[in-house]
Amino acid sequence: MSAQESNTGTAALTQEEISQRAKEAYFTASQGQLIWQRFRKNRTAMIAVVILFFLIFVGLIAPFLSPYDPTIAGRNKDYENGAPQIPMFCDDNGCSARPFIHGVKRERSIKTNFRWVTTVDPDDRRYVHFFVDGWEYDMGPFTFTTHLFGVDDGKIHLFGTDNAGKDIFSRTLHAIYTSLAVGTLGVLISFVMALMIGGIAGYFGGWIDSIIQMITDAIRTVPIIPLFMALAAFIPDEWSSETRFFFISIIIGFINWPTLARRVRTHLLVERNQEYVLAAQLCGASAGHTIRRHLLPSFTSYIIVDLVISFPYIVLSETALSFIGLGLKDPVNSLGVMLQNTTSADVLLNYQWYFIPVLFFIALVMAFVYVGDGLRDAADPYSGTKK
Amino acid sequence: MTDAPLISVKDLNIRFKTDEGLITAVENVNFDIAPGEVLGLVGESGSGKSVTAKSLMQLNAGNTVYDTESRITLSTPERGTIEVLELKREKDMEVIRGGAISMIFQEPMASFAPAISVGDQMVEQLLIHTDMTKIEARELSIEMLDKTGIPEPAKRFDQYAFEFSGGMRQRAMIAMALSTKPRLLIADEPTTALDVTIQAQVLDLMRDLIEEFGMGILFITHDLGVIAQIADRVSVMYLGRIMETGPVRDVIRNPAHAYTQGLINALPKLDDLDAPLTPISGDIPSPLERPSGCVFHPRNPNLQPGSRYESEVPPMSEISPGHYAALFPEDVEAVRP
Amino acid sequence: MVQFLQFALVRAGLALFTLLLVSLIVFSLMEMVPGTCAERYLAFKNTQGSGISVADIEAEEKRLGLDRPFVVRWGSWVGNVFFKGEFGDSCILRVNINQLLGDKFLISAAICLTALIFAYLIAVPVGIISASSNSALLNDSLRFVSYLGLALPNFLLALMIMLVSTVLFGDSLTGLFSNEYRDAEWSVDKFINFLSRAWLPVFILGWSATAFALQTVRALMLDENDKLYVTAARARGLYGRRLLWRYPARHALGPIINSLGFDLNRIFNELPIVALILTLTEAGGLLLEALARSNDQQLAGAIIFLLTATIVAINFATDIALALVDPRIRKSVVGS
Repeated sequence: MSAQESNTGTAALTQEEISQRAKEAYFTASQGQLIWQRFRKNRTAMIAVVILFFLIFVGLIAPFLSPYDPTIAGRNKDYENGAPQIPMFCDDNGCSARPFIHGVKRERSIKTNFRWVTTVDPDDRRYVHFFVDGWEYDMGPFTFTTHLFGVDDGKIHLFGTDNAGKDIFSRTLHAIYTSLAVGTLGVLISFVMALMIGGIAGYFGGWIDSIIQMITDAIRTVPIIPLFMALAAFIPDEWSSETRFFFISIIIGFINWPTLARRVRTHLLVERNQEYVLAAQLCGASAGHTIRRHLLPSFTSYIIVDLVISFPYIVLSETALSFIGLGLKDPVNSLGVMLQNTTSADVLLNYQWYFIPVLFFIALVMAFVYVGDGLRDAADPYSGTKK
Repeated sequence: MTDAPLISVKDLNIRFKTDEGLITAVENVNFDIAPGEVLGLVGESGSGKSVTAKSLMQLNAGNTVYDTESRITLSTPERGTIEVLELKREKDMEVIRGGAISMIFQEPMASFAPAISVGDQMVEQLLIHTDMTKIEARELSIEMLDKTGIPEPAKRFDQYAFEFSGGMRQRAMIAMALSTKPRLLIADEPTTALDVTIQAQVLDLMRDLIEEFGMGILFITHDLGVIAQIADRVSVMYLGRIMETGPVRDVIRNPAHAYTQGLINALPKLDDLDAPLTPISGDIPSPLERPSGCVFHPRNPNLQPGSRYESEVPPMSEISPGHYAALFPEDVEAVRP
Repeated sequence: MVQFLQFALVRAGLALFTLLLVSLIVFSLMEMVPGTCAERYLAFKNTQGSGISVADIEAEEKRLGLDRPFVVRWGSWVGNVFFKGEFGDSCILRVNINQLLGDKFLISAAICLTALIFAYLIAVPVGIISASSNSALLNDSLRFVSYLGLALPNFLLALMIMLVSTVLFGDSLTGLFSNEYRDAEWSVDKFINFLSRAWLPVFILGWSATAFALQTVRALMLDENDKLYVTAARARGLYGRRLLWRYPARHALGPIINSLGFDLNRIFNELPIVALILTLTEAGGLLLEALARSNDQQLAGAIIFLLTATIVAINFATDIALALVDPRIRKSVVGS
């Protein structure tokens, strides 16, 4: 064995050492490190991760990126149902280094059949400025008024406005934040429930397991969205939007737990027969201690993967509930809330920019699905990677 | 053993295409099996013995690459010689899959389809490879089950694998494999998953059947004890290379290669229970970093630093008639009996 | 045969037990909701102009039997449902729920089941082929399409189709019947009219169901393909379609059948939303109406219970089918 080392020069020896270290790192790598190493090789999943982090980042700093308050307070009453305004560098009057948009005029006269009609004034340039002062917002304990961009005169609506004149761009960014927040809260709730219920069933097994399984199976047969629609319908109207938000998150967390609980249970049923568990028990460890300190760490990675996989379904549930008017409500912005009034033919035919947030939403869900998929493949190298 | 070999493997090189690049699984493997002869293939897991066996039936996964000069030649009485690696269509492979060659696997439970009765699977195979009618196939299958010592074969015929005990499943597997009267039987660790007593029964059964059917057998195992009981000749594999090959007694009594010596020393000795077990030092290297020269050199305790084995691949040198080992000629004298 | 009947009976018993458990859950949830049926009805009356007092509410509660203990009320509710098929009166509309539902529930169940069948008719062959194909392009694009099926919620799909249809045909395709047939008796014409419109909800409900089913079938097939018995079958000379259908596909069938109940559950979850967009007036829509507009817990409970009962029935049917398909289950049944 030592033949090689003594034979090679010092330079090569360090090289040998490096490769030895790399090997050792490989053998002593934690579950998480191994998953990450395999995950990095999956190009689609890596792209999805980048998109996902971008969207999360955008969601977190939504108030800074949004030029206007996404609630009714930030409405532009002179530009209702307004089309998107794309900043440009050139127009008929020449070019400018600073991007600008054109101003709009609204008029109502006999010529327009007494409807409000918005016309673009090609001679009215409004320049885009960065780091401008605007509406007040809180980030943690601090209050800011600076926003990434704005125009020097009037308002800019990148994605247009809705029927109340609210800026769809600002609303979209806040909706991403809301979806992520509801999802995170929902995932945490279902995670805790799944751990407790699945943990008890899987650790004790036997008749406790049978009873819990019977109840879980019964719950799994109830179509959960109609059921929770029923519950959500009875939320008193006078609840504040924050209370509503938490209540909906809890409901959505409840939707998700049985599947996760089943996974936890299966993991535990396998692991609890391993020798290391017996060893812990022989040392007099309590059931709770054994579950927390010995069993859980053995499959945390898998649970995290499961959580990421379940995330998009939670986001979808929220959207569906809000869309039918039983979930979140104004002034909270979520995709479901934003899409509530898109079913009318008027919107379908004339105001298609209402659907711009849908693209972000699809991107968010797809990114999550692909990341979850990549993580699952990485966590379990024997699933799906072949072929 | 003067007959033309039943199957002859020449310069077999097998690589797998993976994300990490081409990985060598089998390198320059040569062996012949004569009719009625049992060749044992011994090695640790990962030594490439199963991959070698599967290549005889082209059963390796889709990412397998065979070298162009690799040859597997099978001679059959009906069709003359067949170049196994040149068969491209699965229709043409029928002859090496269940026809002239049959295989039994390590896990008898998992190798039967769980939702199809044992009898149906046996009949299906016979219908593919013979001109029998269903009824004839059924009769032959029941006869084979009976021959392998399964009680109430007619009843067992309609049962499913999960209703059989472990030993009985392996018997049924053997019955199925032999029902088409193959010229060569590949047994991939057929007794590893069985209890020791059942193991002995299955080995006895196989020995009887060899006498009766006279086919050649490639017997794969990691257990030298099993090899000593059943094989005529043995080849020892390590990291995809054959280290030593020869008549089973010669190899076990006078192991020439350090690896074979290590394997034998690692066995517990029933006649001297106080003798310490001596494991082979070091670990099997990762397949990504194949050692240069003799693949065993990093674990060989007898080598001096800078020896030829570190850079050059030793040839197969003859130790005694029919007994070869991967040694340089200058080292052969030292190991001659 | 006797043993098989025994098995079916045990399963039926279990299904009944599940239904009881579910009825308890649904009933308790409906109870937990603030306000009783009596309060709600009288409050509704109140908006119609007639004044009410606390005494009125108590009298109404007594009339409805709401003063009895919880278990007694649950028992009588369950008893009525199980033995008479009666769900009582709707809280607010004061109409018998069975009359209110009429054939609406059957129509919605039929639409959902059709969507389910549609999903599996596509997913099974496509999933099997993609699992055994080596084409990266095929597999990646199938993967993308089925993820899109998950990420594009069906209400968005419905919106898109309505948009296109409104622009092209001037008909938004909403509702299950054209106006002239809505309240007409069932007739051949009405049925044809129904078919000409029912495909849209079936398609929309089937869309994401297909995406899910495709994922399931593919994963199951990949699992089976890797098993040793498939290699063993290849070693016996089987190949191609004969190998595929008789071995991996045959053995993936059990788990696929097993997943039907949960897929139906998922479709039921989506029904109310699709119903809202397409302004269907069958059960999904009725549920929404019961919840969003009138807080009618009695009606909501009945609909949720019926939906669950359908799923339990499907699960029972799949259990039986599974026993027929899989000898391991069949024999364990016969053995016990």
